[in-house]
Amino acid sequence: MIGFNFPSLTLRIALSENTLKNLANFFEKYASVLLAVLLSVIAYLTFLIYLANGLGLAYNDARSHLDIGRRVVEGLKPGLAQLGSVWLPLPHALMIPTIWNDFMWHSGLAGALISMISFVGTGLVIYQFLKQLGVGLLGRLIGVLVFVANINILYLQSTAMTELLLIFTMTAGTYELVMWHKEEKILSLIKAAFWIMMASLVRYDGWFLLFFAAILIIFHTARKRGYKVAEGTFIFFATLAAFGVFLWFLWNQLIFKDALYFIFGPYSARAQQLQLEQAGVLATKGNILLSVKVYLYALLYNTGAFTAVLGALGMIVFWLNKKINSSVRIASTALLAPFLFNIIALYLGHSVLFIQGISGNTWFNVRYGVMMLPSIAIFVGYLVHKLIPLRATIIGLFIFVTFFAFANVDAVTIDDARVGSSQKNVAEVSGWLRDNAKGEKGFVLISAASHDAIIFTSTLPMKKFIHEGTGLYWENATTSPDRWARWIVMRTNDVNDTTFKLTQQSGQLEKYELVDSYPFADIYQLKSEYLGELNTEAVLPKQNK
Amino acid sequence: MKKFIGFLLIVLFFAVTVTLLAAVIRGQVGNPIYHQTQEERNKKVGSPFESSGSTSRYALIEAIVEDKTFFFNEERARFSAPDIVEYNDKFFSIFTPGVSFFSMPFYVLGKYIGFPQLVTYLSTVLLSLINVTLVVFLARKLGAGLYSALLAGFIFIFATDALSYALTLTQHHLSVTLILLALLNIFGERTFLKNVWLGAIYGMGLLVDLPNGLMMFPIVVYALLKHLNFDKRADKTTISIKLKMVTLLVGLIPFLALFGWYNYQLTGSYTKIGQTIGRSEYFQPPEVREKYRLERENSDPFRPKLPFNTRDQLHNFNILLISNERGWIFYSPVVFIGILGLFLNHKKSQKKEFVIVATAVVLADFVIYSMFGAEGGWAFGPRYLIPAAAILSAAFGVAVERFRRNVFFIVAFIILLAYSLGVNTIGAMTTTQVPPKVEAVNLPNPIPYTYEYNLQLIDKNFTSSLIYNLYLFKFMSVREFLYAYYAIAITVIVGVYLFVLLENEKTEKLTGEKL
Repeated sequence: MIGFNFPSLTLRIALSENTLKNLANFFEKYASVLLAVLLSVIAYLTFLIYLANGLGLAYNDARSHLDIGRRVVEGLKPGLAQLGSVWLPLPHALMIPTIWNDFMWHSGLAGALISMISFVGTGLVIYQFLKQLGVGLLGRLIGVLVFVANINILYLQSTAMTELLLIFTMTAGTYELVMWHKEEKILSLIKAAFWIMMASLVRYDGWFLLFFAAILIIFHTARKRGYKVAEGTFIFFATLAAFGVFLWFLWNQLIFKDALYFIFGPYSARAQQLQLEQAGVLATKGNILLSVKVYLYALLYNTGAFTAVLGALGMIVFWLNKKINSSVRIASTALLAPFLFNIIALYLGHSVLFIQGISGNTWFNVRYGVMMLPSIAIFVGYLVHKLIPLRATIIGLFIFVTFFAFANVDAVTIDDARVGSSQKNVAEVSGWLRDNAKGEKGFVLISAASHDAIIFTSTLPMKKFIHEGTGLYWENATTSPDRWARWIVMRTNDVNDTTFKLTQQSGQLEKYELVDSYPFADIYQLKSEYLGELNTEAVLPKQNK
Repeated sequence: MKKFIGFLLIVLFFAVTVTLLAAVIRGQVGNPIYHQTQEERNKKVGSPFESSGSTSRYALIEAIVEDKTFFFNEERARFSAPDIVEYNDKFFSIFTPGVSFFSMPFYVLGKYIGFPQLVTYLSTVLLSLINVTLVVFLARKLGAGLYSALLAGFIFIFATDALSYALTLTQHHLSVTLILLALLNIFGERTFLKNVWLGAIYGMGLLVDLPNGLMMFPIVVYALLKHLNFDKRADKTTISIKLKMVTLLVGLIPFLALFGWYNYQLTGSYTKIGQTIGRSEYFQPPEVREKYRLERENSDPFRPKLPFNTRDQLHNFNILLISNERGWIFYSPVVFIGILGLFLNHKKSQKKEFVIVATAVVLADFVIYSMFGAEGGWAFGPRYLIPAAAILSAAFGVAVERFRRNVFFIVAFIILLAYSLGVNTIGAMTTTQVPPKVEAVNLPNPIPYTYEYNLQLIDKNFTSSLIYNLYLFKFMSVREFLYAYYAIAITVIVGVYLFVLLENEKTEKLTGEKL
């Protein structure tokens, strides 16, 4: 009802209490559904933006992830073994249902779809997390907003990168872990184990969360119920939670005959880090202060300095609030697992991260800093809930800062994709292959480990390529390239390029002419007089392993 | 009798304040004082014209008074460079005109008596005195006793870089005046006149400096919200909206119209502001112009296009808070005591809402300038945080009132104050033109990027003080002048603090006023 009082120039609007209560109840009841719809729309629209401007496929790793998924369903030796080693398999396995479709493959949607679903899922988990902490509707929505209104997250969720899937599984696992600490319901423990297992199959950050969660569970149970119950609870939890880790060791043993192949193999992160160390650019190894500094910068650049400060304040307010169950407060330390893991990894030299201005003039892997965003979002939501007098100020300033972050496209992950070391502009090499090899018979011999981006960007079918994963084709082509490879793509004189290393030993390279040298690889073409003896069909029998 | 003594003490306090301010007014010996004629445009370090932030505004005043135009001839443009815009083959100041409009009457008066520069710059000195008074008022509103409030005012002007900028023709003190007036405006019930006045203050704030619009936004929002009332009953909730809130526009629109008219005269558009066009490189050396041209040609298409850059926030938080380049910790750490004062008041129901608004303004100042050139170019201290320093100084008075007999507080206060006073006195006596680090290290002859530069000038027996350069140089060195100045300021503080200790504790209850 609306009324107007003329002498005092006052407009009065009367709302019935029932209407307001019904409205509030409606939002409470359907908040998750409304959020899911809204986040889905945002995810979809953002994907379209990055598909249109090409940035969705700018990351070299994104193209590799898509290629790995594609190799499972199409190629000279398709099969699950193409999931490979080093990179954990879940992201690629989840692409299998869709990546057989060329559009899903080459648009990146097969991988981005998983990121987008994870984006929506994480938003809902943050909402539920805050709800369980007793945070009001405004605080919950602000927590979700902090996560969603971040260009780095919006960008990564539009790509085939693994960050969003990891964020989702880790945040869900942490949420269930906190719920178990709060209510001690067995179902929460099972769910926590499930999500942590999933995280352990996405990236090794999940393994650290597994370890951290195990410590929390043992500590909690031992404190409340003694050692025996703690032991039993841990075993119950670990049976499911560590199953992914067990499977991974088993996989490496079965496929590569070495359970530790993913650690010590030629394509492992360790091998990469050794090269970097020899080149003198692994500065964080053994330097704890630098490791902390580098990761802190990555975190602050990804989340925004202002948001990170709010998150830190929220974290302090949360942990000092004695009205919250101490078990819940202890369990919530799992929200810091990504922070601890990344610093430890940098310190041990298992990870590399370049920050422009600290590590020279480039970016590399700066997206690792985004892993803490859900935790920060939760703490900011909590801060808004608790700091009632300054709510309007915090929200107003957050909106102000976020507006300009969007207006100025302040996204360090996009910078890394555009101009950092995470991108590779292979357009020239790929373009030559697309223009010259597409309509011609014959295979391209190429190292997928070194040149997956070229394979992807060429848009040629996977079965056009002979690479490390094609078994006998690879063995034959590297010993007798003139019989199998009409084109060879490799970095000449680089012994780290397996194709060069092996074909050089074959002594057959003189039968090839150099087409051209490009920034990332050279292309060799078999001389016409040798074409008669070239195999151009996939004639080898089906390979079982 | 008590009241009379109190009155005398206040008069004495302000007399000493005025004297100390006067002692650092800038100038050189001339005929009789330099810088007063167009031939005396010396922009050397320590002169009133050392910074283009002042010269560009002064040139605008001259252009309006002498030539009845907003545009600069080439001589004025060169005098104002690099803070000029070149548009449609004409030069004008890059700054919004509020400071120049305000100081115009002073220029006219100064011209009449033969000291146009001196009297024009006295407008800022006058504003700084007004700000001391406003800080005192604000401290009293927050519950500080009389002497604690006087101390708060003194701290603001002498222990922060507000002192250095009181001697320039920049936007800082006028901005502080308007912000403090706006804060005082929100006390009590909203009336038609108060709304009009607040709207006018907001409009004037935009004319002085555009970020003032953002800093004062929490104040305006609060004032608007005071026109809303929620009446919750068992069966319904009634929202009352007092429509007299629109009277804010009555005060705002004339100044917006003036701003629009000014823009139209310069650019042909009511909304096109000089700052959005960008600085002219006309007077830069050819190699510098070529460098800028190449930078523009090769610029990253993803580079920030709007002025507030979030990527710089981490760096700028460091600059504003803890760096030795411009950080509060290095230039005026005593203001942090003001945070304690705000905290003490935040639970008192009578002052809670005011504290929230004041805190919002401080945070807004901080966040805005963390995204926008925190170094302030060649500057002394975090000059963009002067408005926040004013509010925190007022709250400082509350902290002093509360902890005046606490030994730990007194020790911390003495150390922080002594240091802050010393640093800012050195700055006021020498120059505000301290380069940012990134430029200082690349100079052909590198100079320090901290107040160490000011200390070096003192060691060279250099000061910008007019009174010293006219008279006192015969009796003492610059260093002795500095010590004497410092000793007087410390004496004032100690004296006022003694009265703080003797002050009646009931004073707070008497001055508390419902918002």
